[in-house]
Amino acid sequence: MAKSYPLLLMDIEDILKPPVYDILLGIAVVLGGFNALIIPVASSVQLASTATSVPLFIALVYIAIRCGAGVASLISNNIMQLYLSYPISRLKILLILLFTRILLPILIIIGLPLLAASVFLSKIVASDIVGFLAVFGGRVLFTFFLGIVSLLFALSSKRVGVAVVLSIVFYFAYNIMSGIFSAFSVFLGEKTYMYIAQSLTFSDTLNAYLMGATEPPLWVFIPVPTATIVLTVLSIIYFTRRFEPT
Amino acid sequence: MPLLVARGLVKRFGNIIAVNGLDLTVGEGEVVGLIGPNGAGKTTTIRLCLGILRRDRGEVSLFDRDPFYDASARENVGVIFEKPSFPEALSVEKLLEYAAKIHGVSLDKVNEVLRIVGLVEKKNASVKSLSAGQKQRLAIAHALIHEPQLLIADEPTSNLDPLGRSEVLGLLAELSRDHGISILVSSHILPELSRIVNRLALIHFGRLVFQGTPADIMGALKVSVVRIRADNLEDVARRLREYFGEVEIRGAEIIVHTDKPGFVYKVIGELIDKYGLRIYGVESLEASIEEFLRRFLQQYQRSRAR
Repeated sequence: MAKSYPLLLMDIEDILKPPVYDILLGIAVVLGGFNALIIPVASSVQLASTATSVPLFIALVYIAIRCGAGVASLISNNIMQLYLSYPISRLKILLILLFTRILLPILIIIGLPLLAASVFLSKIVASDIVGFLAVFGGRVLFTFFLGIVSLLFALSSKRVGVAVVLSIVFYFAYNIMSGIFSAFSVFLGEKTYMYIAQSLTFSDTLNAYLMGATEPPLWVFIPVPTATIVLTVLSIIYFTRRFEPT
Repeated sequence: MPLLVARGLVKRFGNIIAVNGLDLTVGEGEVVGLIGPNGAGKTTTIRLCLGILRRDRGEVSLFDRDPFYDASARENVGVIFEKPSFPEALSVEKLLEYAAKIHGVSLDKVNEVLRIVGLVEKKNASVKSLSAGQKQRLAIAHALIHEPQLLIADEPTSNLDPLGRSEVLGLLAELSRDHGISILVSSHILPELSRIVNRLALIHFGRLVFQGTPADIMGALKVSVVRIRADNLEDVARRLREYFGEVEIRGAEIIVHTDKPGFVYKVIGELIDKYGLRIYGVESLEASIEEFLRRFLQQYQRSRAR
């Protein structure tokens, strides 16, 4: 850990270099928090859900672009080669990247509006902290799921353009797929399609469930977390056993 | 005890075999030069030895550990890549501080290595603002920060002007001589390496085709080169080929490789008498190390073609 920690800080310092869209991102995050303050909310879960709805979209697009491009450019700029030349295991390097390139931006983008909301509307938050944190956890997990997909695209393609395009295509295809299943359920009157659509929009379904707006079967909450675990394990296996920065 | 041992290394990129059954060792205190033309597999070999690339076959032992699976194998290794890349947002000093922390050495080393490479005045500059030569110096400082036992340098002079090249090579020689650091250094420029290495390993098409001390190479250079300037190069070369195995036209000259240069003069005299060939100049030279490399590789390619 003593050796990996400086590399973690070095990578954080590298990602925090401020291009313009990071500033725009800050503005968007503030707008997300502002959204929560102006829309009347009755419960902690509703507050968390409202506060993170805009940031969730931003986080998804940001992660698709930033994680895909960031990791791919680490490879194409030979920085990954530098990291791999340090006496730090591949597993630890990957965990550092998962944290700096995916988890940290998600925590900032999703977490900041929630922090703002909990400061200004602390009484509402206090009424159901578990629900508030469950919304936060659901949003983070869902964004992490798409982040790990972007990471795998970046590691396997090793090209910035390809990684970004694949990540964005995946993101929109994923949403379209969810819409198609919703449409099937409406036109065919088959609930299973609705459940599939709900399982795809994991965090929104979780929020609706926590607010009592829907009661899907429990399996609806299984695919995204399972896919996240499977893809994380896959990325670890790939990075530690096969990945080459060329 | 060898610090680095590679045996039967094989690395493919798709259908291309970049490294093909290569053996290499670097012993304690040794300076080994890895030479070969561009595309010979030098960089791939170095990356395999560092565990950055995954070998398809063979073994690599770096400080008795497999560097691909055991990162601690690189603890005592300093690395200089051909195109040094560092996070550009960092300052020179900050980068080296991080490197010092990663290797668990005192931050005092930062100023020490900056002094060694002459970058003290650039310590607050961002990595992005450095010139190619300065980045190369930074790469050397970065590689030396933890006083490694083994320095692996891939074309460390490739981005430098002649003065810079000389300085870097001098520095490598000094590190080996004064600090006992073992060095594996690659280059495609032979005279550079022959100045500082104990042993040269010539690789071509990913294979080790010659290994020995610079003296061994010089010993192998029993052949001389005879340079001939003539009017009708094709005609003269054709007639010389009847006497000598290796005759080639290179630019406006004919080059004859032979271990009997005197005989070339005799033959030329006879050819002039017999055919009235117009030959303006004959010059016998000791074959340079590049000449050796060129010949060696030509022979090697011919033997492969057969």
